[in-house]
Amino acid sequence: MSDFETHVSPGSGQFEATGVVPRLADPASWARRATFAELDLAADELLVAAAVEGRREAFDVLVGRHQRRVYRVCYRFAGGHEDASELAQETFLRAYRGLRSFRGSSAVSTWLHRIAVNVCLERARRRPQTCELTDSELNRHAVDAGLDERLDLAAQRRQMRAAIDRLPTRQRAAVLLRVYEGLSHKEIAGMLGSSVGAVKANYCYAMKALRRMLTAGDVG
Amino acid sequence: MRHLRDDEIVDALDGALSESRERHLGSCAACRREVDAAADMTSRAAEVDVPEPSPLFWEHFQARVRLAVDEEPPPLLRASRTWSLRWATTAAVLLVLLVAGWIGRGDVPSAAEPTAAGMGRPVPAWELLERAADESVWDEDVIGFELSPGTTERVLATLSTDERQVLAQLIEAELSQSPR
Repeated sequence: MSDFETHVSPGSGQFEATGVVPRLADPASWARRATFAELDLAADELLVAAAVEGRREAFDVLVGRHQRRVYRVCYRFAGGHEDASELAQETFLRAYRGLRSFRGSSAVSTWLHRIAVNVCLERARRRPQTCELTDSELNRHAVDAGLDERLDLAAQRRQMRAAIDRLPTRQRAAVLLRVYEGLSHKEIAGMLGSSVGAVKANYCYAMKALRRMLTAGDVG
Repeated sequence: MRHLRDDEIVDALDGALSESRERHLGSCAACRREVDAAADMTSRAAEVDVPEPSPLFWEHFQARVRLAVDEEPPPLLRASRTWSLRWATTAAVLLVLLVAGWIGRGDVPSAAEPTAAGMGRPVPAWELLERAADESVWDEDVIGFELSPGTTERVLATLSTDERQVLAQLIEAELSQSPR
């Protein structure tokens, strides 16, 4: 019988990392002697164990496996490729530094996701958006002109992205974490250091602000 | 009846509105419009995707991460260094406490340079202890009091040759058991 069996990593549902889990009593021992091919097929948790044992190529596999997801999270917060790339790199560097703190209570993908969100929120706090519109400005420009008639689908999405980028930091974080990352209001409140009520209110303000910006044609 | 608050509009989107507020929503056109508009914006926002970078980007990205990681110490070495410095700090603090009685008696020695010469052989543990002092790694929140400059040197100078040998043996024994 083979030393390995197919395994699907438990996860949050957002990630589907698959791999092979050895039926061995000592994952660290396996991690030290695993071949490249075995690392390439290994489950995320074993790759973490291997990276902790000094197998940097195991961390390469993790990066390759999760880089797209991490980049997407960062892109939504950064709003541009260059910043997203920088934030994604910082995410993986922090993950490497914190490998020993990974306890396996959540999936590696969830752990990386949390690190990425924290890196992005820290950046947002240090460098808040400078093109935010005030409520009075939004109201002044608001003209209900019928979105569907004026914009084709691609243009609508481009404008929506631009509108989200112009939201105040907390409103933007509430939208990104809720709509794209699927976090609960309670989880978002924990990450932003605010109350659940404040997160919901920010989300509602954000939806109103988006509608005003889009109907005013003030973005894009 | 009052209209839905902002957080209640979000509850309505999530299907988490209380029964009484649900009844209000069913009978209030203004609130219904607010909830529908928020739902519309949410679904439009959800359709926004992230543009996919060029295929070459991912290779470059992995290489950049690898370069950055290569400049980092391996995770186990990082933990070992942290542990060693913490232990050295603790050992030095214990040393301070051991000789505190002498200081309390007013028998404060001169600040002679502590060396391992008195022990007849080089003792790496002393170097570690001295480095810990030199690098100002003292965590005053942990040790509970403030160390003035030169305290460590003065305390080390108070030890006899026998006491230095015992302390060095203790430090070396602990270091040999520390994770690598």
